[in-house]
Amino acid sequence: MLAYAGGDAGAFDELYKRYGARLFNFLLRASGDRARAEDLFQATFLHLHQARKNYVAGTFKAFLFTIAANLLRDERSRAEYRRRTTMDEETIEAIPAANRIADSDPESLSEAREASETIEAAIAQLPQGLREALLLSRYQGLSAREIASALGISQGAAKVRLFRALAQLRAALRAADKAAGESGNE
Amino acid sequence: MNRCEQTQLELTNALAEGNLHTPAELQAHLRGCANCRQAWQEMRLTWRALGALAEEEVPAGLSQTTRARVLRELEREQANAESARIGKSALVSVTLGVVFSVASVWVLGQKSDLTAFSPQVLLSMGAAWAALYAAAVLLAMRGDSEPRYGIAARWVGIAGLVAMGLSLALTRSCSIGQALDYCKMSPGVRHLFAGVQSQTLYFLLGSLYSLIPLLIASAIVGIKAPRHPVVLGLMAGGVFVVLTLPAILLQCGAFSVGVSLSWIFGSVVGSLAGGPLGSLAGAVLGRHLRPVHTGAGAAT
Repeated sequence: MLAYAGGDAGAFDELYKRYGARLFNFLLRASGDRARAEDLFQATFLHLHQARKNYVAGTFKAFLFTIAANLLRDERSRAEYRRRTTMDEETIEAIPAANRIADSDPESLSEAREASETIEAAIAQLPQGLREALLLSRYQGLSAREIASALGISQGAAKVRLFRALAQLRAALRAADKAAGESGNE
Repeated sequence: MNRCEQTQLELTNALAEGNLHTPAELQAHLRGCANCRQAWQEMRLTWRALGALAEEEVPAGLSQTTRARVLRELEREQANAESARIGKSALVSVTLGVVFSVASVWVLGQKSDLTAFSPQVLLSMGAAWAALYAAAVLLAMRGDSEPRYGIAARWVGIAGLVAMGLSLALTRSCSIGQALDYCKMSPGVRHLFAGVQSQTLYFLLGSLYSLIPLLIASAIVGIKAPRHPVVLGLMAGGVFVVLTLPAILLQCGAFSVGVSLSWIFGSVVGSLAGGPLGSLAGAVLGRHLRPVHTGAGAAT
């Protein structure tokens, strides 16, 4: 990154090769909209280019995904998009932890792993704030501190979001299992 | 948040951070809480299932457009930065060119009678000299420091300028006119030059007054730039001849055309000899001064 900040085009290519697909998948899942993900993908790299002189030696991944998350947040602030997808902190706090699991079957969750469409749909159903925390943690390997920095929240809030995201996802997968079981019985 | 939620929150973050071993107190809670045990198992399964999702490649068109846009931005920035650097170099070159020209005319004015020239002519020559100096400074600042087509342009400019400085210092301590008078009038040596024509003396002294500064300057530069010493020396000699021409013309104000041409010709010969000789000497000296890499561990 430091070489790229110094104007090395080869260094940019290297960064692009390493992080391009990961960023694209993050934006695709976080935005839930391919066209928007493509716009944000370009915008992230252009913002990265403009902000590269501000980069101080550290985790490039966190730097890149902070830019992407900020752009997502800006995008969300547009009225229509906000109405469709955003969920404020109060709503996030009100999400149940989904810890009533007595009737769930772990083996059926295992089967759900095969059904990637189900999981993708469950991710898409997550509120934006939870979804971003989950994606940054699971797919980009960012720590709670880095997620907090990228999303502009406290580290404690980042941990809670991750917990609630996973809890919601479990609940969604259980529901999908149950629905599949019922349709199978019929 | 109740105890179970708190436990599951900590378990989630342990999972995310890749901590495979759950802390003892969490384990204690898990042993006594079937709900949390179940949740913990589900969490791990869900986490694993998430990891199994396929990652998409960036669409080729998007990839191409994004890379092209960023690289175009990079090129544009580099072009702007280069323009700014050239502008700065040009300003520094012109300023130094004027300063060097004024200083050179002042040095010559100490040793030669410049009243033979009208103020307009002096001003024109000073301006021309400033332009030549500016070009040499620009070459020294912006030229390649590594040989391209056999010439390290930066070092050529530096050698020419250093030689010119030495030449002016030499003139200031003993001008060619004074040297000529010494040759013709000094009791010890005048018999050696008896019968030698003025043109010949000016040729010889002109050669010497170019050879000495260029020899020293090229040797110094040759230490730093040892590759292609002959080419570098010849080019440095060329730069020096161009820079010294106004000095010769200003000092030849009252001389015949023959004397002036002899001096100029002598200067050319001295420069073309002094440059390569100095560069070669510098390259040889540089080889002795630089630490020798033995290449330990190479083929035996």
